[in-house]
Amino acid sequence: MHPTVKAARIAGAVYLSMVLTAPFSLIYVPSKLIVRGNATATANNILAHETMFRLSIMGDLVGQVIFICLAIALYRLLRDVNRTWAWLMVSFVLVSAAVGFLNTLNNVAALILFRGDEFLTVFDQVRREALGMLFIRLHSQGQFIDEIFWGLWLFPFGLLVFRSGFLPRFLGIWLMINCFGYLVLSVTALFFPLYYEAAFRFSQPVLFGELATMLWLLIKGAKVTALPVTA
Amino acid sequence: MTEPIIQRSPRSLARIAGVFDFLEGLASGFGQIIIPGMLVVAGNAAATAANILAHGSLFRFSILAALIGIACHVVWIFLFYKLFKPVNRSISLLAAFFGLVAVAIQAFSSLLQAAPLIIMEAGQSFSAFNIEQLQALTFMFLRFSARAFNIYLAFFGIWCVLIGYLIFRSTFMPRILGVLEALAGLCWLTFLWPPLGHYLSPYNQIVAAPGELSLMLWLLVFGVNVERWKEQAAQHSLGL
Repeated sequence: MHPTVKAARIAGAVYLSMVLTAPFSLIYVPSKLIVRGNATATANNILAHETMFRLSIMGDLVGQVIFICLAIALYRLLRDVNRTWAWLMVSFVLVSAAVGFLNTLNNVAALILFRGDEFLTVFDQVRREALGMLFIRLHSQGQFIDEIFWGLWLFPFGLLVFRSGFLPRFLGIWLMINCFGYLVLSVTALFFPLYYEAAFRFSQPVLFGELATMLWLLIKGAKVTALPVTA
Repeated sequence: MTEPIIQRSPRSLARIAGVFDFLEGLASGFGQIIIPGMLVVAGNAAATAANILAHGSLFRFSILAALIGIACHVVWIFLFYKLFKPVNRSISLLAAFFGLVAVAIQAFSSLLQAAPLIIMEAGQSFSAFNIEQLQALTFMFLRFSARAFNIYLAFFGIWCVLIGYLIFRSTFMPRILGVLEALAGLCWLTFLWPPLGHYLSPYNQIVAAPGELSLMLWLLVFGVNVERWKEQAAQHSLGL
């Protein structure tokens, strides 16, 4: 196999592992356990499915590690297109992963409060639940902040794909549009929180740019004939 | 292969780095220092909460500005890595690592800054707390955010010291800029122990300002000496 095709396939496979695992912590568990605006119901759900909640925290952490691996795999694939943009892409991912790692602490804090160990008995249950809910909300706020980086890294990524010559240009453009999709979502979450869910639904066609790229890398790899001899 | 603008010449690289330096300073300055400084009343949780409620949009804007600043900071740190790679590749990379960790901490401190919004909008969930308790919670998170920002400053200080060293060892920028930048880094490092940082404030900030400002202005106006940059890059067999 041509080294570039191999690098593309590896990147695609790492990407696939992220696409398969991320929705569990990001969408499935929150939708099952978190009841918006109701601290007691949320606390009861999380205590009843504590293992699932802990798994989602672990999934979050594993997801960040995969994200870093993905950045490195894509760096290997695209560094010869332009090293500067490739490094910028990696920089954004590293900061995103660091913010993501720290953000899991908010969910840990919520779990500690909901469980209400010995030392927390000075707070009655209603207050513990409210405080726990605050940390749950803070966690999702942290994801909105991370969304900025989920967007920003896609710009250099899209640009590199566009210029690569061995990946289709429309994917590059799609990725760059995908970048702005996340940025808009993040600003919506901050200023118009009520419209966030609607915005998220409408932005799906834009956000599928990543999925399309992942599938392309995995299935098609790279078009080697278009490569310069030195690659 | 078409060359992108940031690779065309070290001078434009330096200028763009200066632009992102400026943008970061402006956005973070407003987002994490000036606007919070306007709204937070030291030691008074009730007045702080009242200010935030009365200026909700301004408070939201401060968080947005902080986030824009953080994004610009990544680009700025990255461009500095490129700019000083010819001087010493390892130290330039080490500086970039410290810089990126600093930015992650900066992002975390801006997350804590968002907690008051959650508390004030939560309504039902927080009915168990009376108003004073909610105000105290809000205040605690703002203090927490300020503490996180201090930790960020310390890491940023390490970056400044390393960059100061790189400027000093470079042949393409005036040495005095390096000395001032390293001095600024030492000032930020005083926040490693917050009581010391606050005891020395605002003098540590006054000493730090010339280093940061002169470097930014130099990059924007003069950029770098292209000939010497290329010379130093060639010595380490590093092209553009």
